Amino acid sequence: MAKIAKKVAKKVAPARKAAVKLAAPVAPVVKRGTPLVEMRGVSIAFGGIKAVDGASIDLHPGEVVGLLGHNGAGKSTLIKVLSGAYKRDAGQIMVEGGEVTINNPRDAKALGIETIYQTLALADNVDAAANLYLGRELKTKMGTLDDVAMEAETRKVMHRLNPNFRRFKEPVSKLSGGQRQSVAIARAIHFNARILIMDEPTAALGPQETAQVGELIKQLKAEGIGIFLISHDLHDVFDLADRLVVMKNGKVVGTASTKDVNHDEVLGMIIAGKCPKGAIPGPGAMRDVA
Amino acid sequence: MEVLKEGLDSGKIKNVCETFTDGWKPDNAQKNMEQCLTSTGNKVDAVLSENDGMASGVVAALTAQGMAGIPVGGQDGDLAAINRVALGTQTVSVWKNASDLGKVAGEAANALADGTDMKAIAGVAMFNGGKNKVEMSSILLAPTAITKANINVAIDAGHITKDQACAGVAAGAATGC
Amino acid sequence: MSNTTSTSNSPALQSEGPVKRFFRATEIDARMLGMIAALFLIWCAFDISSGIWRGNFGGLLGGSFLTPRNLWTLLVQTSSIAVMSTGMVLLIVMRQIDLSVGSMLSMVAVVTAVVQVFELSPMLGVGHPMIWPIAVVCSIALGALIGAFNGALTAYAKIPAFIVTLGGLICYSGLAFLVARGETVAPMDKTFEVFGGGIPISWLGPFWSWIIALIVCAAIVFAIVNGRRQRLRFNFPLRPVWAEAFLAALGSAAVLGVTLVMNSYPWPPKLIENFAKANNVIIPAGIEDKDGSAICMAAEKAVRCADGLIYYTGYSLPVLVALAVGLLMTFIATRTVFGRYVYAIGGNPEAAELAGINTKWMTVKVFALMGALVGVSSIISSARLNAATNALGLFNELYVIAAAVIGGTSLAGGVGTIYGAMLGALLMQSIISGMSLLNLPTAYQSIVVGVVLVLAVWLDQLYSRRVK
Repeated sequence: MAKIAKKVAKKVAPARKAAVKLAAPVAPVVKRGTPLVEMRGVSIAFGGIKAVDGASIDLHPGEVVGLLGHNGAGKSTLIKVLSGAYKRDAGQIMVEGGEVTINNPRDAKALGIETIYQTLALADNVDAAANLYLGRELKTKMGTLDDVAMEAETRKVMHRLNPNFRRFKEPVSKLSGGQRQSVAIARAIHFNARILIMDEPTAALGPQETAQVGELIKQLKAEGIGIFLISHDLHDVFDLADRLVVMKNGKVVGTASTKDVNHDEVLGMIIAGKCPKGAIPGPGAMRDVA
Repeated sequence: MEVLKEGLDSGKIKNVCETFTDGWKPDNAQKNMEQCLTSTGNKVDAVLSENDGMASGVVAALTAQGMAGIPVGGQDGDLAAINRVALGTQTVSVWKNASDLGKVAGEAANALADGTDMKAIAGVAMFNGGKNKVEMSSILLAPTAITKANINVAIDAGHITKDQACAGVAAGAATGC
Repeated sequence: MSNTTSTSNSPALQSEGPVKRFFRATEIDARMLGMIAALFLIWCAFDISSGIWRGNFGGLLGGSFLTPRNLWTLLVQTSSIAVMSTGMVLLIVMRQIDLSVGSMLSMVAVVTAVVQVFELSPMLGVGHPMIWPIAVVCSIALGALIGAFNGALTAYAKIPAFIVTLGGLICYSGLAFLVARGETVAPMDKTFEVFGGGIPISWLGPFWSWIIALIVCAAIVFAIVNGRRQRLRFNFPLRPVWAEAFLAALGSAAVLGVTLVMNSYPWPPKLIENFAKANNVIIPAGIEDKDGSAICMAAEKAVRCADGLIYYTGYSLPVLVALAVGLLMTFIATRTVFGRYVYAIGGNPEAAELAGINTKWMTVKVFALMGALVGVSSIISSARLNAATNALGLFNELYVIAAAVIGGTSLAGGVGTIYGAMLGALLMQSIISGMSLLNLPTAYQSIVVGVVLVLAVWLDQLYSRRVK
């Protein structure tokens, strides 16, 4: 128990600091200072095909960065490098200015990077508490699983996300899409994440639940957590994100503040790789705008 | 079984359990024997096993009922079986001396290679006792029945060492030990 | 069941019949109940038919199946497969499989026997007290090592477990043959033989059997009370008190019932006689009685009689070992992080990996655990036979997998229980032993076991579809 408490304290401390920093009035759109996380020139190839090619993105505390692009543009792959699911072939990852090695999901979690995957990545045959604590189970003094304590904590966090949730004893395969999604979100936010990656978090949700997730993102943002939001719903991104990054064919087309570009310009970036004036072009931008 | 037929027919001998043991496995033979003993209330006077491996299972089942020592027949001349014969838990193991077999077969092959007529080789007789009664030239070797009284035969033939054959046997309890 | 639920007349209340409420309150697995019912049906059928065809030997229904002797033997016969089936459950739950357990058992048994008979006995002297511990450690360690090797090939070389262990099935049996040179290696060390349950010192006797039974009953009550206290700690909904009391009573009754049966099996008269003679126990005088299990002296001869010297066997060591393994494995599967990971990996391997579980290392560990259990089974099998041969574990993999599957383990992964697999092993051995009791040929046994396997899975699917 003591070990866990220490770990948690270590993770909480920088997040609190970030929150204090945020208290400054009106956060500038292009942030200065040390980014929370920065990926520089990251490349990864599968069987000779470059899924991500020299991509650089960054994220500041309390900021939501939307990642946009077609299917296969490389956004999910890039994010999986950060969450430790894939090992990059080249490039650097910095967390708060210091270079880190992320070789597997455990490394990422130790750095406070949590991910909500598009597939949700839930073990369907066990209950919500087992999923929430998967990989970091609470133990009794005897070293056995403390299921009761885990269930109690799960009840608390689920109450915050989804007050109607009652099915704590059932395997998650029996839950509805929205309930499953809330379990996945609960898992990501319960362990004091500093950096949250959300891959299509509203794909399985109805309008009401989508709105709930939107509220949650704003709440987390206010707590100083940095969020990567992957979506192909432009409205979502414009509503929730401070900045957006567009990718095409594994390369970054451009980065822009959501205030400096409009829907059509972003569509142009996604479809044709055209970088508008309001955006900072990346290596994937088309050189000559005819 | 042919020998037993008369006794079975006349009712002197009753076949209480007969089973083919899956894969000739000793542990299956043990289970079968245990069930046989249960289903007959231990009223079994003798057991015939088609090989020594299964006989080991039979003996293990009998031992658990304190019945080791009733006549148990096996065959192959397994080293462990010869030891059981010396110990008295198995009555007989029918042993075909592989060295003799090899020697006679080799000599016959040599003779044939030298052009000797098949029927002229020493020891050849006509055999037609097979299933289809086909007549053929054969050399028949007499198998040895290893009992407590002739353990020494297997030891002398170099088939088994005295240590192995007589492990756990009181000196003089079996011929050769 | 559907009748009782639909006859409820008050739609305002939660319309739940007494049967359904009973199952919900006690959280008894209806599947397991069905299996136990099937088991009892089979037992009764065998007792009746053995009575008709083979004669009455004091069975509950006039045969020889439902006698303490047969049930006692049945448990001993089941123990080896039951031990291995607990490991197979975890493997199958994790979406792996081990086809090589049978060959592995042969190999471990033969190697251990060779070490015992040809190395240790000549070196230390026959019956040296260090022989059996070395043999036991050697068996379990060798099993775990081979298992870990299977696991490493599966996890790190990424060869499907089916292929790795199919190769192992063929290869290890060849190795076993080489080591044994195709012969029976015997006899085992006298103390080692204890693990087979074939000799009187491997029988616990009524006193210690009752002590163990009482300890287990106390543990059941403690577990229920403790579970309740834990839930109270967080103000969680509790089971009704009657349901808790019922579960405690049911568990204790089962333990005491089995113990009673074990304690009613008397030593075979011949063994009582041998023991009495060896230990200078006076055999009382009496009158011969063909059906008695006790012995007494009629003139100079020890005979069977109704009143006289008698000992009861109680639990035999292999059965205790199997039960202990079952308890331990249930604990591992349900109460430890290791078990939680096994089930999570089976539910969704990718999710487990993303949650930070080292799934490859877990695979190696579960295979190694399977191997260690094969080591335990090899001790039981070879000690019971008092010999080891390269055919000892032949076909065991089929029975072990069948036991797990009959017990409700899903080959799709993620689902399966230890007790289910052990009950599956018992059910299968019941059929084999029962048919053997009727002196039916082995071929029929195989046919029936095969049909039962398929039938069990089919019924299971029908049941789960209805529940959904």
